[in-house]
Amino acid sequence: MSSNTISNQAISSKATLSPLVQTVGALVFGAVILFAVGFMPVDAAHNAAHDTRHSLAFPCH
Amino acid sequence: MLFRRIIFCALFIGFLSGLLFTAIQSISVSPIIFAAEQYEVTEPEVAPVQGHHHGEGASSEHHHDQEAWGPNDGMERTLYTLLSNVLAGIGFAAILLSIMSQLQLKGVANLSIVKGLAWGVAGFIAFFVAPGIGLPPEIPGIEAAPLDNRQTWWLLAVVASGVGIGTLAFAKGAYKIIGVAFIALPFLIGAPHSAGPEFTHPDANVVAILSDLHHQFIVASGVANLAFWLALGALCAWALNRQVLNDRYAEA
Repeated sequence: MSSNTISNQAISSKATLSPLVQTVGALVFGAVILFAVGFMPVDAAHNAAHDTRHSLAFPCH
Repeated sequence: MLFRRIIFCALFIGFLSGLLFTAIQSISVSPIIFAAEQYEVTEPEVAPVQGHHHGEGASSEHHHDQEAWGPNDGMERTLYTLLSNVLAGIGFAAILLSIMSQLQLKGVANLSIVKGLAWGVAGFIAFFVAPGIGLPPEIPGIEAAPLDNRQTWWLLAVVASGVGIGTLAFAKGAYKIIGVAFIALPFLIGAPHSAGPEFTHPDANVVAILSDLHHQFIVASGVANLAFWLALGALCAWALNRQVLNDRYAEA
């Protein structure tokens, strides 16, 4: 019972997150993905995304 | 939920725009990268282990292979590039959609497909032209300043020009000056540059070939990026009105 109440509260508080918080969240999501593709200093990630980094003119090598 | 609708649309738009970018790139951009790689000066090779290495043939191999995992040239490499392009498209679309949503909710912006194209041009300037003025798009074999410094300046150029263009577009009257200041800031600081020659290849003829390839690359990547951003801007504006901020999908 009590866990139900807690999860319901969690859901309702999630649904009332302000639009600003939600759009900033989406912006951070986009930035994290771009970091992974363009900047992540792991050799395997660099090699996989190599041609993308060059083509988008991200600093590479 | 606004967040979920932005992410869902970004996935869809990233897929479409990433496909488009990959198609243009594979025709005009990648061949230049491959050509430049032929002239890449490889690190002096460690003496091959006796008997286990076919010494002669190995010198033409891509030097990444010896350092870490990388996709094999051909289909595998193209697929990883497609995947990376789609991911980049998703990242760009998520950023565009979140800024568009916030400005439209505040009544500052009122998006249409045509205005979306203008946003695409703004994204092209912020993410490609402005950082590219200080740090031109590079082909393999270029000797540039340390990577950390270039990444920091690149980030500064992207954020400052993005904020600057937005301020120019949406601020009233004299406040637009602040936008100009933001756009100028990274160039007042100056991009990091290597003191040495641009290409390290010892042969002057090869350096001439590489310089020529480099000029072709700047044009080819510019065209590809502009198409990418026009698609991103138009699709994001369309999705914003159709899905992200559509009352039918906004629950309570």
